[in-house]
Order: sequence, then C-alpha cells, then structure tokens
Amino acid sequence: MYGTVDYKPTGSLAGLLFKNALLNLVTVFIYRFWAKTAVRRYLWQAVRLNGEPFEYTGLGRELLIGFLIVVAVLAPAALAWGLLNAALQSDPAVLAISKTLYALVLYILILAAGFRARRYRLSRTRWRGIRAAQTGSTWRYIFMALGWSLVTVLTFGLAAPWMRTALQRYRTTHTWFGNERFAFDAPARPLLLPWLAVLAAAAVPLAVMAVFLVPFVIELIAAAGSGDTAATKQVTTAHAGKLMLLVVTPYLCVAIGGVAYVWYRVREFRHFAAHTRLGTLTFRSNASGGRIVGRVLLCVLACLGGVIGVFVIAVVGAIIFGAFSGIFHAAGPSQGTAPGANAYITGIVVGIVVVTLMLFLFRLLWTLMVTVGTLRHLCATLAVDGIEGLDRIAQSPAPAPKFGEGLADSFDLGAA
Amino acid sequence: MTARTTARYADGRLAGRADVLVDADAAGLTIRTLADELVAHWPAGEVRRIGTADADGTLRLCQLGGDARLVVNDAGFAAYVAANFPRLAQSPYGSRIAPWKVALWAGGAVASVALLLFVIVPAFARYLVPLVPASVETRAGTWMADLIVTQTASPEAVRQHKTTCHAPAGTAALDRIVLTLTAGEHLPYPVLVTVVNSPVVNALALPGGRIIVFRGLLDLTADPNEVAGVLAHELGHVEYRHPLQAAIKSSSGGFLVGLLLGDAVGFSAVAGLGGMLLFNHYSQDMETDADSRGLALMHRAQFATAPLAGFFAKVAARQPMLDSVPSLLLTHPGNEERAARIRADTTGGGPALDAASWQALKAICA
Repeated sequence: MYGTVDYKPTGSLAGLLFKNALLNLVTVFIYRFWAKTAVRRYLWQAVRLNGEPFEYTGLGRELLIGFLIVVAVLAPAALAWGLLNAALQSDPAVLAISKTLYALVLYILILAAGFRARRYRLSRTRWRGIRAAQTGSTWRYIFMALGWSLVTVLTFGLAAPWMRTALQRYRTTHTWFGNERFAFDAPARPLLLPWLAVLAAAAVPLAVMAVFLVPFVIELIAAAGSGDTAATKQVTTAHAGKLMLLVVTPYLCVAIGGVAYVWYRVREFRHFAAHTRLGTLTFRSNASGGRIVGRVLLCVLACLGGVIGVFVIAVVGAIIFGAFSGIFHAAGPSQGTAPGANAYITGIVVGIVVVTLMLFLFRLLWTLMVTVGTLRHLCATLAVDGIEGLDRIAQSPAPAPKFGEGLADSFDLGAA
Repeated sequence: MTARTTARYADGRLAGRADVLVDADAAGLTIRTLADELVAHWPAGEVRRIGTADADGTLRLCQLGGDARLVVNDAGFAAYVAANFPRLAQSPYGSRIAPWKVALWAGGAVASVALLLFVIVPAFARYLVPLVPASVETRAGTWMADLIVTQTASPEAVRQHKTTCHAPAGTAALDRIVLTLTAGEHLPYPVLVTVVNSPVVNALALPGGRIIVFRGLLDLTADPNEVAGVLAHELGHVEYRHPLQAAIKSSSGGFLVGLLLGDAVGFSAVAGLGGMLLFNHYSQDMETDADSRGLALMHRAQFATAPLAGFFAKVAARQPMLDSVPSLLLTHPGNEERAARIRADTTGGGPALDAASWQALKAICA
C-alpha cells in the first residue's frame, strides 16, 4: 500500500526567520538556540507522512547546554593549541606537524559533531508520538570515516562513492523508528559513473586551460626560471588576459564541480532511497537533480547580484562622501576631533553592519529558496510503499541523549 | 459546560491509531474507545497543543511530556479547549534539564572564558613573546603600519600622495631624539618612527619596532621634550614588546568572541574584528611599565622631564577616546597620577632639541 509524503507548512517561514534575526540581534546571538529550535519545529511539522506531520521535540536550552559544555571544555584546549602554534612559528618542521595534527583533530571533531548532531535530532523527532533514534558508536564512525578518507585521497577521489555509501550504511542501519531498525543494501558501484561525471565537470576548466594556455604557461615558466624579473613582467603584461584566466581557473573548477556535486547528491539520494527499508516500508525517489541545481544557481546568482549591488552603492557612496569631506576641508583647516580616526572607526562599524546584514539576507534567501525548495521537491517526488506495516511499529526503547549538539553549533552543521 | 467529539488517538506505544471519543470538561480530557472503555484522562493543566493548527482547523494534542497523540478536527471542541485550558499553548515537552544545570554550565562557560581572557592569555602572551621571531613580528608591524597610515591620513594628504611626512631636517631631528633615547639599548629590531600626515592627536607603538606619530600630536606640542617624552614612552612599549602581546591577546579575544557568537564559519570575520576592537589595548601594568621605562630613557638621555607633566592631560582633554588601536591615551594610568609621577621626578636635564631642530621637526609635514 502506498503512503503519501507532502510538504504542507503552517504559517510563514520568512516571518519566523525575521523574528529570529531581530531576537538574535537584541540578545547578541544567545537566542540562536531557540531560533534554530523554532525553525526545526516549523520544518518538521511541514513534512507529512500519510497526512500526519513529523514533530520536533527538541528544546532551545538543550542546544544551549551542549554549546556551554563545549565552550567550557573545548575553548581552552583550542586556544592553547592556537597560541602554541603561534609560538612554534620559528621551527618549520614542528609547525608543519602541529598544523597537520590540528587539521586532523578538526576533521575528527567535525565528523563527531555531525554524527552526534544527527543522533540528537533523530532522538527529538516523533511521528504519531513514536520516537526515532540513532545508535552506534561515534568512535567507530570516526575511524570508518578516517579510513575511507585515506583511501579516497590515495585513489585521487575515485573511492568517494564507496566512502559515502559505507558511511550512509552505518548511519542508516543505526537509525531506528520506534522499535524498527532501518535496513540499507545500496551497492556503491552505480554511483561511480555519476561521480566520474562530477570529477570530469570539475576538470573541464583545466582541460580548456591546457588547450589555450599551455604555450603561455611554458613561456611564463621559462621567463621565471631564467630569473629575469623584467622578462617575467613583460610576459605577464603582454598576456594579461591569459594570466587572469590562469588565476580564475581553480575557482572555475570549484564552481563547476560544486554544481555537478549538487546534481550528484540528488542522484545519490535516489539510489540510497531505493535501497533503504524500514520494516515493510520501501522508498522510491524521483527527485530531479536539474531542478535542485537550478534553485542553488538562482540563489547564488541572486546573492552575487546583491554583493555587486552593495559594492556599487559603497563605491558611489564613498565618492559622494569623499567629495563632501573634501568641501569641508577646503572650507578651512579642520579643528576639534580628528576626522581621520572618526572615518576609520565609522568605516569599521559600517562594514560590520553591512556584512552582518548581507550574511543574514543570504541565509534567508538560502533557507527559503534552497533548503525549503529542496525539501518540498524531495517530499513531492518521494514514494513510500508498504505503509501498512507502519501501524505495528512500537515505541522506541532507546533513551534519548540528554544534551544538545554542542560542537555542531560552532561548525554550522545540519538542518537549517 | 463540556464538549465532546470523536478523534484519532495514537497511544504512544504503537504507531497505529484508533478512533476515540473525547470529553472535555473543567477537569481535563477524558478519552474513551468507541465501546466506551476508558483509555486515558489528561488533567486540564497538562493538556498541550502540538505545533500550530492546520489550515483546516485540525488540532493535535498531547499530555505534557507524554507519548500519546490526539488528533481533533472539530471547531466547537477546539474553541472549548482553547477557552478552558489556559496552559494549552505552553511547551508540550517536559524540560529534561533542570534549570540549575543550565545555570551551572553557563557559569562554568563564562568562568572558563573569563579565565582565558583575563588570566591565561595575558600570562601566556608574555611567555610567548620571546618565542616569536623578530622577522614575523616585523612583518606584522609593517602590515599594521601600512593599514593605519592609509586609514588615518587626512584626505588632502591622500590626494597629494603625502600620507607620511619626510621633510629632511625634521626627519633628522626626529632621528636624533630616537638615537639619543635608544643609545646603548639592546632592542630586538631597529626602531622605525613614521609621522603620519593626519590631524589625529596620538602616537602608538606597533609590533616589530614601528612607532607611529600623528601630525596632530606634533602640532599640539609646545616643547621638544614633550615629543621626546611621548617617544620614550612608546620606546618603553617597544622594548617590552607590548604591541606583540596586545596582538596575541586581541586575536585570542577575536577567536573567543567568534566561538561565543557561534558559527565559526559565517560570522568569523565580523566576530574576529569585534574581538580585536574589544581586546586590543594595553593593560594598566603595561602602561605603567612603559611610563617608568620612558622616564628612565629620558634621564639617561639627559632630557628634562618637567615639560611633560601637563602634556598628557592636555592631550587627553583634547581628544576623547576615539582610537581602537593600542595608544598612548586609551588605558591611561590616570592622567593626574601620571603628571604627579613626572612632577615628583625632578632630576633635571636639558632640552631634547635646539631651537632650529625643533622648528624643523614642527615643520616635518610642511
């Protein structure tokens, strides 16, 4: 028997986000734990299985206390390490080891935070009063992820589908709804071709560069190798456009690769959904990668437009302001307080306000267009079969984790 | 007054649902099967609404902290419940964490951060400073100096590309004061004094032996020994490598502010800047040390300190707290106290410059 999955929100999310932003400002961002909780309540309730909404039962104070524990315990350690790093600047070898270790610890923390945050969120998710849960060992998950990361690096990224599938298997098979455990039997191999497409897409700018720019690069290397700075300068000025292309290439690779990766993730979602079961429940997703990519692109373009707009306004404003202050100076040598220092401070304050405002607007746009758009599309294209078995699922015996996500807060992981 | 309706009930033990009869009265909700067997009773004070009602009026209820869920679609019943159960809209989820625990951890976190900021980092910074190679410090100082020069120079100075002042005779006079003050000193790097063509009334020391003097301060001085006193004070900071300590403190502060504001990715730039503004200054002790060192340098150079006594007060009165960079004025060890200390110190000495050099120094930006 088929079930229905809908995205049917009640109330305005934009209104909620504005209210949250205001309260965040007033409380110096202490409110963010409650803000996050309110957004999750909204999104969870909007998703309905067979007409019945999911329910998020987390509390702001749980997130707060998780965060406080991290601040009390982790901040001193991180700071000590940072200061030590600064002190070790004299010895490059020690510094390199320290930096590698730091990156490794950071990676482990991000993995742990992601896994624990998922555990917390599932434990605070209910449907018809039945709790979801995640079991499994965080350390085991970390070691798995580290091992697979190593393999992926050694295979130049080719093993990524296997890594992602293995981790998804661990997460899914340790996920419960009530007393029923999810099953997962997706092979990784069908994802190889889509993944290769991502790598190929990311390599396109490199290939183009290779065709157009190789003679230029050779010339540049020869000039630089000769140690003749004048010759190098001549080469770079003669081919300024090509030099710019060369500089832009890595960014193009990341941008095109990023878009392809979003498309890959949708393919992956369909593949994983088709191989996930919960008792009698099976899933089939028909999500369209193109539609989600389109939304991401639209949002990014809107943000870019916003940045350019603000930049233009800033430049025009600076010119007008500059002209005015010029007039004031022409009127006579300025007396009293120092305009230089004033302008400096004002500039910093205005900069902070503008950046904060822009970041808020981008996040608002991202949440409304990408997060909600993706969720809506995934719901609309997800088919659930075997719904009749759902009624027999009993309450979860698993105790819920007590505290919130802690670490995840500082890395900005996860749902909205 | 009571209300009755039929509803869908999930008992919290199984995900399946059953049709039930619900009676609401002042005592609460009574839930019965269609065969009239009692299923549950929820006291009025514990009935809660879950989320917001759907557009079609569908209402979801639970007992505070309970697993069972009741789905009602009956406008009359909903109105009765809303009118008679005053705690309906309160949080349906029992608090699983006692408030004292939140308070305890909040206290712990605040104490931890405060300890870091005010004890550990300053103490650590002092031990860290000797370990930082002079070359790293000089690079940082150059970067900061360039930033300050471009940001504070007056608009006409920027237009004329004369953001710093280099009149040869004035520079020679300035160099002479610095050379006399530092003769025989073992500084980790050569001192470089830059005069910025800016009306700001201030002087400051940066990492790597950079000293910035603003034209506004030179304009205000009436005696070469006032300039020498300011330079001696800043040289005191340089000698103790205070600017580097302040930089370490402020970047640590920036890190902590970023952490407290959360979101180490998004707002880190803003948070870092905020932290720097908040924590980038010298402690009282550092200022007193620089003062003492400055006076000692003045003595050794045989520059009279008497003209300095009123100068700090004059500067402070002239310019309210404007600057966010380590400065001569911001963490004032009380200007009266300072003047008193200088007045108490009457070892004599001569002028720092002859009249001609003094005029040249005053005209360094001309």
